[in-house]
Order: sequence, then structure tokens, then C-alpha cells
Amino acid sequence: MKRKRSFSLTAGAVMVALIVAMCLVSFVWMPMDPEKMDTANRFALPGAQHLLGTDQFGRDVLSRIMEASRWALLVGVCSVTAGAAAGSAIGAAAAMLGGVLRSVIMRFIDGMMSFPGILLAMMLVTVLGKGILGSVLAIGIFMIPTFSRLVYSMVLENKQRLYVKAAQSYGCSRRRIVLHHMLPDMLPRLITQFSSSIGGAVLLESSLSFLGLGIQPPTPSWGMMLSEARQFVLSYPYIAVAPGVVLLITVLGFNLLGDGLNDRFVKRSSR
Amino acid sequence: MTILEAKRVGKQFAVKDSASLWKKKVFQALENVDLRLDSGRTVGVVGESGSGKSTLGEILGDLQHPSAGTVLYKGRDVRSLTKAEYRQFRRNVQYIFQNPKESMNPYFTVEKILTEPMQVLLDSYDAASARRRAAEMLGRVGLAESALGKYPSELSGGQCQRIAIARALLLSPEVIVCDECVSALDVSIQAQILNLLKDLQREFGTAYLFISHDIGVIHYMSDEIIVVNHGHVVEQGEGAAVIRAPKNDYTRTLIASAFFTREAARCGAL
Repeated sequence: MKRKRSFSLTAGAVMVALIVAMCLVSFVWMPMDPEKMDTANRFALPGAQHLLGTDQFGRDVLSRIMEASRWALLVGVCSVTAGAAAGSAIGAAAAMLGGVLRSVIMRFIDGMMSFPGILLAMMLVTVLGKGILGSVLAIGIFMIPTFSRLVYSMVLENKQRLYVKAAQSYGCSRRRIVLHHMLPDMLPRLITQFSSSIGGAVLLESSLSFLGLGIQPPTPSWGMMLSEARQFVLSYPYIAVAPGVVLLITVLGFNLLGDGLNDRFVKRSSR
Repeated sequence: MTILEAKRVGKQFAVKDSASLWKKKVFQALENVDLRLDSGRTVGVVGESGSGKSTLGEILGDLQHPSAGTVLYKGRDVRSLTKAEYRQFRRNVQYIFQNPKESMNPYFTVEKILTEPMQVLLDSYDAASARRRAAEMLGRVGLAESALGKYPSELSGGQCQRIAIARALLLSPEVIVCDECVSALDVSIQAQILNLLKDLQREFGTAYLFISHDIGVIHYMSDEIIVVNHGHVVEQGEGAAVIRAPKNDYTRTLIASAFFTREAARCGAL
């Protein structure tokens, strides 16, 4: 069977590959030291010396973007992994337990979901502390409801299957039923959601950094660079454009990749 | 020996009353059923769909809790078994479901389908001997060993039902609940499966609870017949006696309709 080529999948994969490559390259080579200030060269125009120019302290923008990509991906992947693990466990437990406990858990999750993302993340960061660990935890907690609702509904759907009843009839524990009998069916949708969520997490991390609640200087981050560039946007717009575009590519890339994977694996296998 | 016994079991479901926002109506799925399953014997449960016969099967295997009455496993209440005893109970009461394909995980190979119950329920489990036993059992139900590497989607309904039977038998259970286990199959394959089940019963002395809407199948398989209608037992007795001299009108209707179908099929009307 010839599969239809999916534009989102290809475009998303290319964008994500670009960002990941940039991140990997940053470990072996960067044009300049991203934290080295050079006051003589403040606001240098993009050119041979500084490919994307320099900022208000004369730091090389390209180098800073490259270093920031490490933190963006680290926070994105770690927070979504943590959120997905915790959220899936909560959702599966609620769906398998049933009864009052299910209602309590799910209403609590609904409550969490009703907070706007950035507000919830800001509240959590205030409690958990600024910085990378704080952001990872805050964004991870923000991801919990999405994953628990998804897994909750998928487990409920799977519970109706006859093979689950059969597994029950030969003594499989609830844990075993979820991990062995339901997980293979849920995996494609989980992976899809995982990919899309990383986009959201990176954006959220940048928002926190923009507000000064995320990654702390001197460690660079895209959000922080945007926030700093904001003061000079009228006179030196190019400092703001570069991190903005990179952020756009990352978020768009992960979202498109998620959509593409969804088209490819989820819609095809749903009977 | 009596293995499973149902004592005045009943099951109620609460359903939403369409006339009220908060009131719930009680739906009586099953009422006051007594039955005994002895080794080597078959009890047939017959009734139309929705009569509560599957509920009865699931209550006996503790897949559903009865809302009234008790289920006794070797004379003891199933709810009062210790963890180890409950594992024995699970092992000794096996199911064969109506739709064989849907009763197997589509992501599992036949080998995993057959060995998983042993892995879960047997204390002395080792993969190699489990695989060997699975292969042997496949031969016993009339399938080639090569089926072990296949997925349920690659097999026909009849083949899948043989695998479901093999899965149940591999645990050498004392009771098998056959819930409409031939209804989804072609008539010719139905006969093969029924005969296979009978042979295996002679060999292993398993007790069957045989649930079906088809009174012909029930008559062929059962030593004792229970006729249920709307959750009530309308007739219960020795198989031959119930078929030859039904006391209840509903039983008579069932028998007459089965006879009608067979005659009509013979005349080519169906």
C-alpha cells in the first residue's frame, strides 16, 4: 500500500531536525562565547563577523541562540516526559479504579485544566522557585491534565474490549492489563501527543523566561532574549527577529510533527 | 464433585430514569438462580439475548459481583477466598467467549496469547516449557504448530475459537464457561468445535457452563438445562426431560422455533 505523503510530517520533521542539529552543533562549535561581552561592538549589524549581529552588551546573537536551544530542548523534553508519565499514570489509575475516587481525581484534573497555561505555570514557578528545575516542574505539572484526560479516555475505551475481559478472566492484574494489553493500542496517540506537547512546553518555557521567571541570566534563553530585545525593538529590530524565528520554527516543527504522526499512525489504525 | 455453585444469585443494575433527573430505575437482570456445576458434566443455559444468561456466566466466574446470593467455589464463598485460593479459583474457572477474535489482543502473537495465562497464574512458569505445552495443545485442538507465530488477524474465526479453547485448556481448569462460544461461527465449524469440546470433556473431566441462545446446541451439549427468560429461570431439569417434555410455554416456544428453523432449512426455505 502506498501511503500518502504527509506534508506536516515532512515539514515538521525537517524543522525539528534543524533545531536538534543546531543544539548538537552547539556542543562542539559556536561562533563566539555566548556570554562574552564586547561593549565596543554593541548592536552590531548582521555581517561576516557576527552572522546575526550582537545585542546590547555586544554578545553574539547566533551563539546565544545556539546555547539557548540546549536549554529549550532540555526543558521541553524533560517537562513533557515528567508530565506524560505522571499524567498517564493518574489517568489510567482513575479509569481502572472507578467509583468515587475516579470522580474526585478527574474533577481535580478538570479544575487544573481550567487555568490558563501561563497563569498556572507562573503560580507554580512562584511556589517551586525560578530557574531550570522550577520551569521543568511547573511545565511538567501543566502537562499532567492533557495526558491524564487522554489516557483516561483511552483506557475507558479499551476497557470495553473483549480481550480485556478475557485478560481479567485469567487473572491479569489491573496494572498488567494497562501495561500489556492497553499500552500497545495507546502508544501511537501518546507519541503524537508527546510531540505536540513539546512544542507547547518550549513556548511556555520561553514565556516564563520572557517574564523573568524561567531560566535566569547569564544562561541565555530565547524568551529572555526576546524580552531584552523588546526595549530596543524600534531602533534595532534584528535582535528580536532571530530568537523569534527560531522559537517559531521549534514550536511549529513539533506541532507539525505531532499532526503528521497523528495522520500517519492514529487515523490509519482506527478501525 | 461439585466445583461451582450458585445460590439464589441475582443481579440488579441501576439505570437512569428518563422521566427524572436524579431518580434511578432498577433493572433486574437476573433473579434467584440456583445451579451446580459438577466435574465432567455440562449445564446448558438457554434464553434469548438480554435474558441475563451472560450475566449469569460472568457472575459464576467472578467477573461481575452478584447483587444478591452467593457463589460457592468448592463449598466456600468466592468472596471469602484468600489471595492464593483466589488465584486457584481464577485458574480453575476459564472462559471461552462469543467472539473469538475480539477475545484476543490483536497486538499479541498466538504464542503470547496462549502462554500469558500460564505466566500469570502458574507458580512454576518457565517460557520454554510453556511454549512446548502451547504447541502440544495447538495440535490437540487441531491446529499446526506454525500458528504460534501468527496474529489473530491472520486466522479465521474457527481457528481463533480453537485457540481460545486451547488457551482455556492449557490451565487444566475444572470449569469452562462457554459464553455463546459457537454463535459467531459457520454451522459446519460449529459442529467441529462442539465435538472437540465434548471430546476434551471426556478426556479431562472438565465441567462446562454452556451458554447459548440456540436450544439445538444446548440440547446436544448439556446434561442439565436451565431456561431463562427476562432474568427468571422458567425451567430447570435434566437435558432430555426438558426437551422431550417441556413444562413451560416459553421453553415450548424455543423448541418449536428451533424445530421450525431446521425444517425450513431442510425444505430450502431459508
